[in-house]
Amino acid sequence: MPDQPTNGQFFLHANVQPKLLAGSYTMTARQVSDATGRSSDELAVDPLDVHLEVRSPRLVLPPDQVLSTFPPAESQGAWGSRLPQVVIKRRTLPWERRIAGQPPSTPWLALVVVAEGEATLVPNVPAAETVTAGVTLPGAIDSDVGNCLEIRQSMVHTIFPTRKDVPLLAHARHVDIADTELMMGDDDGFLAVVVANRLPMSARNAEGTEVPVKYTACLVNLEQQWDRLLPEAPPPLLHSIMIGVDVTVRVSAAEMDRHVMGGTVALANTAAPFTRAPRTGVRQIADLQRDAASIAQSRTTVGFSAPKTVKGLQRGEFAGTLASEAIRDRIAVALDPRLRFPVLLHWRFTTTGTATFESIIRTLDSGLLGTVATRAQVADTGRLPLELVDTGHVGLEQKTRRGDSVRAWYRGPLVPHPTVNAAADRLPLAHAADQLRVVIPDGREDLSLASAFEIGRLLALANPNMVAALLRWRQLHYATVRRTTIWAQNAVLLGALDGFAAVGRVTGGTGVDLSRAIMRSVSSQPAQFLGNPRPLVDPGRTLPFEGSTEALLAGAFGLPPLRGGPSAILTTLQQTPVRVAKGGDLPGRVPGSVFTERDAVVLSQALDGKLDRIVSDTLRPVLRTAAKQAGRRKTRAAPPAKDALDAVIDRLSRARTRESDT
Amino acid sequence: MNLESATLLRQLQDSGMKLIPPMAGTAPDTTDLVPDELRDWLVRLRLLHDVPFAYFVADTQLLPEESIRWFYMDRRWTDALVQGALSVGTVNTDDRLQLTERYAEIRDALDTAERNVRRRDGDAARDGQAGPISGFILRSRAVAGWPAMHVRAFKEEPTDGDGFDYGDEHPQRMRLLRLERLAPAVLFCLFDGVPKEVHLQEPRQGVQFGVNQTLTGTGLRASLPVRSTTTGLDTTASVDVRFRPNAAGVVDIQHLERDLAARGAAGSDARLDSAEYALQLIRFPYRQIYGRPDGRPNTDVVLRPTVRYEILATRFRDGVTPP
Repeated sequence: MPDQPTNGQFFLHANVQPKLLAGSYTMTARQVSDATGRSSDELAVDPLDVHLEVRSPRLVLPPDQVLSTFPPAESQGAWGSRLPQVVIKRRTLPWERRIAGQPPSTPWLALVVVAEGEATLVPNVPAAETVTAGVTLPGAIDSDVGNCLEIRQSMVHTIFPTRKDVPLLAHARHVDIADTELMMGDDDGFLAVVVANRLPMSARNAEGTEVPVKYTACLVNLEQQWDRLLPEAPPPLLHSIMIGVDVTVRVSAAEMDRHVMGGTVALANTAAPFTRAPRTGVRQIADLQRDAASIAQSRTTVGFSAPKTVKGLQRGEFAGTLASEAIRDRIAVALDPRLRFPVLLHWRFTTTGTATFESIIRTLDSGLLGTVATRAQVADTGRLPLELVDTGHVGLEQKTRRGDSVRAWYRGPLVPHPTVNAAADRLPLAHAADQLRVVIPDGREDLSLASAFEIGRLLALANPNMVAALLRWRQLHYATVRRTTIWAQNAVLLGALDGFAAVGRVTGGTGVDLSRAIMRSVSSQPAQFLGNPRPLVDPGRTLPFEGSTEALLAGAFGLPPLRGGPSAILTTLQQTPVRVAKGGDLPGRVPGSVFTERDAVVLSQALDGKLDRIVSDTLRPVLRTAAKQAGRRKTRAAPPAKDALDAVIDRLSRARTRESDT
Repeated sequence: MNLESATLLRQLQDSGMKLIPPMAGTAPDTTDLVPDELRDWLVRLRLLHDVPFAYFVADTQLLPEESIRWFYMDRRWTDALVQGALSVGTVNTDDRLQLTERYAEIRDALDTAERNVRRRDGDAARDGQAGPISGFILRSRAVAGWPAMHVRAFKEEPTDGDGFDYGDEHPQRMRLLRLERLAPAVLFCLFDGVPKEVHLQEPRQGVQFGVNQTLTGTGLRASLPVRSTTTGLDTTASVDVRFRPNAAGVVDIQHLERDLAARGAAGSDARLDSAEYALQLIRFPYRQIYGRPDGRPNTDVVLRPTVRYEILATRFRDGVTPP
């Protein structure tokens, strides 16, 4: 193998010859044996025929064989100074078929570039019809249908490469496989390149300005139609002509009528007024005698010498009629036959101009913003001259809120001077645009920053998502402040928690941190955070023994104070109603039934169950439990207040007293 | 009711730990106070996204056709822009007080975020105070006709080669903050700093073949500098490209070949083969360099074609099997 190209290198080869051309081959193996005393007939071995076929794309180029096309397909750009090219993965492809009578270095492919209207691309025709009638491609054909380019012989002579050009337009390229840009996904870095012979130039209209032109690049198969190409180029010109898109057709309406009805006007006579005297070097697309077919497709402006009353629709009809007349002209067909070439690959692009990147960029007017153009500008009549100062400020008309028309200074964000960026020089916060209005010493206002503020506000308002985000964010801040305040109030408790660092801010993770810290604290110092478990029975309360014995006794039995002599006491006792405990006072009992010992057992069991539940419920939420425990720790010293249990015991004890009384 | 303190505590510990799984990264971050979407939007705003073009360039005469205008970015202006956006929804004094309190923090967050706005995954994040921002506006046909133009900014003159293959994180490269076509023919670019040198390069689309064109009154002329066969550099000699009569743009290839051969472009023999012909036609992407004191573009030096002549046909016949 030759040297491998290294980084930044690639090799160009004039051609790469395949060992076998495409086609069918038969390999015959014969063995000749020789032995003394035996005739060769006796030793004969049958020859062995092996058939093999070397295949190669012929009518259709498989898409995976195309590595790149230039200009890119369907692109639009100033491609006028670049020759279109196609890069093919199989390096031997252009030389895999042979043109009869030509040396092996002659490729069978050519890339032709066709402007709009110069030829027709006919898609999906049967394989036999992809070539000109009367021509057949010998050998196997890879595809049943293919695309073909239908083109006049004269146009072939105009835009196709000559027979001598074709070998110069294909070469092989060997690139560094590390250079992905040149490799373009190839496997070995060895590629075949077919270059076109035509610069896809833009057109010019009547005013001489450039007009975009659509081109189709076609990779055509030249097999069997080699002799259709020009043998040698005609004497060349130093200037290329430009495609003209302006055609003026002058036919009077009467003449047109006569032509359509009777056909008495000869085409030659009609054609003569079709084309204006061509300007030097500008080819008229609608030159009927040369490429009549294009007239219908090119932009044709039809101007009539007829009165202005002729409607636009009619004009279009006239143009169409003339064009189709021209196409149907049999004489033209005979002299200038239509040819067909198989198209292996085609793509379209649009050329917008002939200027090159270099020529445009080099002549750019470069300067700091605030430089007034050095080049002559298009005259802006009726405008005041631009008021521009060194700082980059521009004087602009301003309509004040009061309706006065004044001039104010404005400077955008892009300034011609280095800017200061230190924190001290940054703009202090403003809450309204008016805060940023400045009156400068010349008495006029500088509205730059105020405008910036306003447009910022409007842009934010124009975006509902952003308004929502701003409000949400503000709310979040308020919530943060609130949480932080509560935090500070509970600093004592939080400080006591083991391993919990009280931070200034409360974020979403703080709750988790806090609960984990409490868990840690509670489990490591239960006595501190939970206290001892509550005893099963609270000690009884001290009974009040105050006052006289009689009064105490009477009070204990639920009687009014018994005072006076025995008769007075008896009277008091008689007047006091006897209270009987009724089972009906208890929930779930029939009114009037008597309270029994069984009731007391049921009650105390229910009470136990309730107590169990309350305690376990209370302890489950860790946080609450801990807080309650902590709180209880503080109030431990005080005597326990009367609770529900006490009340029930009170009542029971009172009831029993009554019963024993009676 | 039977409660045993030790059991209770154990249960408490178990159930509590199960309920709340440990969470990582609960430490408050300094930047998470400005929500991401808000911060991103404000950063975009600071880089003048969505701002009407008339606010950049107040008068057409400031940006004539076919011109490039360089500028520094006014921080005070962009600060005012952000303040305007933040002022939305400040209804009462409390809101304004709150905004005043937070403003410095927001500005710092934006300063940091702004520098990383075009950061790709894997590049180091940058932080710190916002430095100066500079950039250019280019109004030219070149923007419309050559989409995906390459723009490279350098902190200093590239020392190693032409600098074009420097990665984004190369110490001599300057990061772009924004590169956008505001209109089909207007390119807007912002640099994170003030570059020493800025390169504008024609988009690279593989190897191209072409000529140098000039448009004249009667049509189009084209010429081709002759490339030396030994060094690969363009020589001072050039040949005129001839065109086929009556055919727009069709190059007379043979004539060109003869002219080139006459000027010494042929290799061993007097004729050009297709590889030699292609070598002569290869055009390299043009690069305009701004920032050099002498203003000379150094494309000749940096884009030296290293192409060798090699006729391989014979070698292939001599036993290398083609694929």
